[in-house]
Amino acid sequence: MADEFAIVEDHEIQSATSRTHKPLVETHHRAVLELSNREWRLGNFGNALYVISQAIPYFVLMNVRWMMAGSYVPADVSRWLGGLWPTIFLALGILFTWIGVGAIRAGKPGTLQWTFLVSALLGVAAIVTLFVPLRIHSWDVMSHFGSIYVVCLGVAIFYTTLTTIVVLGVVFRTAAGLIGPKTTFGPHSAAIMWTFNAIAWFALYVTLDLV
Amino acid sequence: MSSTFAQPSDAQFLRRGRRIMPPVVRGLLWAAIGFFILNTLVSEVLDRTPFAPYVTKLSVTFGWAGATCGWLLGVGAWELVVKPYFGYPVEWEVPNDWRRYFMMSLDHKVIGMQYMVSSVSGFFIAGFAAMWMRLELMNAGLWAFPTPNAYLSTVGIHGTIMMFSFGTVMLVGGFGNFLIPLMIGSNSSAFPRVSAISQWLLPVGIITVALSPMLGTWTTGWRGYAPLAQQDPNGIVFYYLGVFAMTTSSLLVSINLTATILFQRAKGLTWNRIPMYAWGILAASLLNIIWLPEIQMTFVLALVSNIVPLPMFAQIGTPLTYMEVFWLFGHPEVYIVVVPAFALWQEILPVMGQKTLFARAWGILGLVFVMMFSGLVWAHHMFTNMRNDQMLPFSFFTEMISIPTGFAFLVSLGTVWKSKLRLTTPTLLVFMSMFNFLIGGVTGVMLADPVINLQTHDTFFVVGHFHYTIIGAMVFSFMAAGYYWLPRFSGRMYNEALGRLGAIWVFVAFNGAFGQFLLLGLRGMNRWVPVYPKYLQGMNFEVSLFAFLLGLGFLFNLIHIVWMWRRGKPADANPWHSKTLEWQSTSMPGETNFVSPPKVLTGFYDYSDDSPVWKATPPKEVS
Ligand code: HEM
Ligand SMILES: [Cu+2]
Repeated sequence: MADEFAIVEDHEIQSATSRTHKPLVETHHRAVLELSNREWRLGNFGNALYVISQAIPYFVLMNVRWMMAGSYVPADVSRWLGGLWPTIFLALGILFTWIGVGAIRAGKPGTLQWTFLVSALLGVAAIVTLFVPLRIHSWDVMSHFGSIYVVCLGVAIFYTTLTTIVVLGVVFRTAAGLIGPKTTFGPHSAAIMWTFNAIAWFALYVTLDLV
Repeated sequence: MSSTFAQPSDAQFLRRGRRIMPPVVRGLLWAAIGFFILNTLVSEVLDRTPFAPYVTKLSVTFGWAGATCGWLLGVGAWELVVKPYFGYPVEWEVPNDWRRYFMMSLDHKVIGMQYMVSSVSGFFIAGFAAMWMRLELMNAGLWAFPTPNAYLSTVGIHGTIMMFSFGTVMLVGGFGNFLIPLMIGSNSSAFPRVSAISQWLLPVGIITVALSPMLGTWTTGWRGYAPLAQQDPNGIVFYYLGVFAMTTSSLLVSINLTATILFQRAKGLTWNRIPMYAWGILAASLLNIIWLPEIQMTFVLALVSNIVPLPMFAQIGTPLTYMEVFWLFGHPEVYIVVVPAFALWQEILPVMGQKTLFARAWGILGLVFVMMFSGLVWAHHMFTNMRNDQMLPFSFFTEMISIPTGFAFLVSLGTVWKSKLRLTTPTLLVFMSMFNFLIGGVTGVMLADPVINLQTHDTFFVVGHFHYTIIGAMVFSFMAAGYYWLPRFSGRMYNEALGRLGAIWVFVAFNGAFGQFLLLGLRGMNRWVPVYPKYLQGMNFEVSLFAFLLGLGFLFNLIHIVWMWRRGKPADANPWHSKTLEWQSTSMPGETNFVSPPKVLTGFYDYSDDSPVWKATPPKEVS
């Protein structure tokens, strides 16, 4: 349809554009290419927007916890399942993912792979320890604390599942040879996402159980 | 978001894909499978309540999630996002013809078009609901609906689809995706995959809300007020889920466009040269990024309370807790709708008058301050639930917000002052939009006054007010932009006489209908009622006639635009002699915008001299 434009402006390039009908190739495999500095910053900005926007649901939850249940914690809520265990697993994952990122920068894809695999397993462990108290518990789901708590567990499971899948993707892409010392943006972002998820859960846990 | 960078020219990485069935068909099939699997899992395996039907409100929630994932994967996310993420090569070929609109695409112009079509479809679906409501209100008794609940569900469907698939979306996801990369001299948006996915969530949301009566009626309207929602039959579940799809869609677009505006600008396009529309989109996007997640979490709480069920917002927390968290989002939402419209005025008027934009910096300040203030005023929606001494700050800030809003007016008026304005259809529609928004704004300031608010709360005065701001300002500006950019989208020109006729038609019908909404409200017409006192019937009857005329007017404009899109006279590449960059490229969907990256030399809104705004830099070698 572009041919139907009459060319009025005299910018040389423009007429060339409209005439050549160059089809836009819509797919690419960017992962194997190096990112420019600008692209790095852009990518990190994207990560920042992800973190900022996804921190807000957590703020809402914390806020609602106060609005609806004050600071009350029932005596029979387990400190470990749905509490410290997932916190520990996620915290360990922060360590492993960033070790992995450091390793790939130093050109050791093998290390990246196993650290991220360990993180993924830690993710699964966190999901399990978040899920168990959702199904088996002594506190009352219909209570003030109980109803907030189940929602928080559900939210944490959702985000941890997402994060674990993302971390797992890095393992696969490294195996396919798509991640190397100069193409570390993938693991870097996955580590950011992991760290965010761990901190967000920790903040939630503190609001729920400790404060 | 990793490895989704724009690099549309890496042809060597493209492999020919296997042949698959048409993606939309595959999407529907996978959606059906996804629904079947998850619904069965939940209702028949995990939760085996005896005698429960196959579809329960718990299982339908999971089934819906499965269907949505199946749909997204089917229309292309499987090849374009998931497989590459796990290290497989991308095998996704977008044919360079009409089929590209029926599959996931990374071309921002294709995505923009898809968004426009989805969004306008939402507008007409919700508009149909409005017509039905007005039909009911022609008579003081219940006659066009079987039950009051059916009427209320229709009001809810109307408001929800209008707000979340059109008001929030059209100018951002639609025009924004198509035009923003062009306007800033880029070949792509920053994260094309993000917009690609988000577009396909929109139809999911529209259809989900439109089909909500399948699960039962709901009476809360677009605000989903809990705990009222918990008392209704199950239709409300599809409200939450549909809104979740639509808000996720807008959130993703906003993230993409924010990054695009900040990072993809052409050389020389410095901060003080950013186009007005890009400023408008930036402001709206930032609001989206903050407030959409907020309302999503609120709705998750309400949904969970509903399906588990939990006693939240009723025995635990109060209805006021819900109102609080809803309106925290709800007021910024209205600025998400209207700020891009202001920006459109400032985009169109300097071009039509070929006169430099007046006080541009103040225009930007206006947009930014409106954005920042919008989080401070939410409780003006809750005056009836507050003590007098709590009202004052909210009343005050609400009235203050009219000051930066006024900048948008002054900038526009200053621009047309003594210009040789061409009174084309877009100009006309911008003026109409300004006039309507003036009424919307003045009634808004009135409503910010608790004394008036307590009298008119929940009457048609309020309904008149917000339709003046939303239809009056946003929809009229959308139409102005539709006519203004038609030559850019299609290469063809509309018919000026028909365009003006269409504009005057909707203007007269709109004011005839909604001007009288205001009067009806003052006479005591409640909103949210299919049945009302007999003495109001005469005026309601007449309002409905105007409303039908308005509906036909929108249809007329739609037909005109669609017709001219295909059959109009071929237009010049830059028919309005605009200086902004979207007119400096004639690329159609599927083509590269700027083969050689542009370098911007001056601002876009200075019409005092003829020096070129940009030059082409030598094309980058594609290795
Ligand atoms: C096509 C012309 C339209 C007509 C005739 C119309 C008419 C109506 C009517 C009669 C109501 C019900 C008022 C009540 O009882 O509370 C209503 C509500 C509403 N309308 Fe419209 N409307 C139109 C277009 C729009 C548009 C374009 C938007 C936004 C983009 C919109 C947004 C809303 C909202 C948010 C509500 C409130 C729903 C609720 O209370 O949940 N309307 N409209
Ligand atoms: Cu408000």
